[in-house]
Amino acid sequence: MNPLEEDIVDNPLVMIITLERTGKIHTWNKGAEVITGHSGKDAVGGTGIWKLLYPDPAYRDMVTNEIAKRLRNRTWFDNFQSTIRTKNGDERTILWNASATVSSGEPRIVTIGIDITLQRKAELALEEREWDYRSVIENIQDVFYRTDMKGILVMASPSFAALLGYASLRECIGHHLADTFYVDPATRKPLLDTISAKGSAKNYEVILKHRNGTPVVISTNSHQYFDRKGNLIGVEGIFRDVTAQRKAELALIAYVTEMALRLNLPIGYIRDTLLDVSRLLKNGTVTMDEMAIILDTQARNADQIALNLRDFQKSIAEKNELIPEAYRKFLQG
Amino acid sequence: MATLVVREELEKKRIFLILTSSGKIRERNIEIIKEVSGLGYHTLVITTSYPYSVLKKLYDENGIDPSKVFFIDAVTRNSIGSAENIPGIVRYVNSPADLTAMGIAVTEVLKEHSGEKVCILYDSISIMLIYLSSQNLSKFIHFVTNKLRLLDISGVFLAVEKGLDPQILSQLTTFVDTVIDTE
Repeated sequence: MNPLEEDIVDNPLVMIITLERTGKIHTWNKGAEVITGHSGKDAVGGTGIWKLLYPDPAYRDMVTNEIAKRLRNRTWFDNFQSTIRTKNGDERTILWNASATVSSGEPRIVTIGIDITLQRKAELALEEREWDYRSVIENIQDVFYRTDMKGILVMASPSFAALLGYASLRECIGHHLADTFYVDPATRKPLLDTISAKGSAKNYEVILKHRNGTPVVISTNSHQYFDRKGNLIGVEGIFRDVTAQRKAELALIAYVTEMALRLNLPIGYIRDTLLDVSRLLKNGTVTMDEMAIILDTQARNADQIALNLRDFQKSIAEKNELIPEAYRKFLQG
Repeated sequence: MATLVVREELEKKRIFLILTSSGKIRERNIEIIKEVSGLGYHTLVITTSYPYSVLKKLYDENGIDPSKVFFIDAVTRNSIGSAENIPGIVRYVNSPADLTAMGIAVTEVLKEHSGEKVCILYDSISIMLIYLSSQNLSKFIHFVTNKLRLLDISGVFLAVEKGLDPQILSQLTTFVDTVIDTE
């Protein structure tokens, strides 16, 4: 080799190895020494270096077999990755390219190994981060959604499909959010107006449409989102299903209203009846027996009202978890 | 007080909901009976507040022909425990909450007076809310109005004004033909 060729071969960043098909090493450059920590003296002239680089017999067999397989019908292979153990015990990922050749009449394999450990670590870290982000979206119980400037659903968590009764997200992506998934598409506009004015909307309630047509009340936190250059490219946010909560609130309101009516009205009625009876008694229209019947009836009504009141207290306490324990005990009698 | 129930509407077998204040409900009861009796109709009064004996005296005092009025009394037996029915005049049911007994009594009394011009006065549906939920009260009124229409009979439901929640009032107005607010 001329000096230039020697410089190239001795590149400390790249392993250049020549070997026989048996694995016996003939050349072990400086790069191989730097990357593996093993000197040429340790490597050249034998096959023992492979046991040092691949101390796990099973992994070593796998690497050997894979290389043999790749060279079975060809004279070269490329982009084969393996993990070696360096002299100081570190693990490094090497990307191998090899080519069969003849040197001084003897068959040889010239192998170039590039240390891609840092690159691989970066790739793994990126994959890990992507997996983390994906798992957040995949597993979120609320719904994440993103629409483009035309209001088309371009991205969503799988929970979007589940919330609205679709078999998969594929059935939802690409459809106009308001036109397809709102009970009243016009109600998207006030939300977008709020987002435009303030940049975001918080706890904003809208009614979506389940695939079977039933309304789904959701509370949304939504905001504008931008590309890397700062251009507005759509709206994204979170939907939370509050249908059950709203139903429970409406049921509670209906119940409270009903009970207020059933308590308030009869009390006024009893009062007016007693006043009337008093007048009838003074006029001599009713006898003492008849008055007793009327009074008894009103006493029964009062008893029933007291029972209704107790039921009312109990139900309110049972239905509203926000009532402090002390008040709850009082309400439950 | 202007006329509440006019002949033409009674002849068309209309069903009325008349709203009044709780202090004037007995007064309205008497006015309605007077008007209906004056038009030649018999009235079946279903009372949940006053015993039949008191109402009968009040009608007498107001010049109402006793032969034109008969009663289903949900008050007396509830108070004194037992009271014998007086055929053609009064039937007792145990309690205003006993809708089954009340339904049977209405059916039987109307059968006794088939062929006569009869109007039912229900006094009052408001007090029923002590014993029934709005929903059950609404169902009962629906049952009674259906019965009246099948038998081709007029009916008047007295209720305390502002005593009914908007939802039940809205339901009741769909069951009756005319709503009259006297206040």
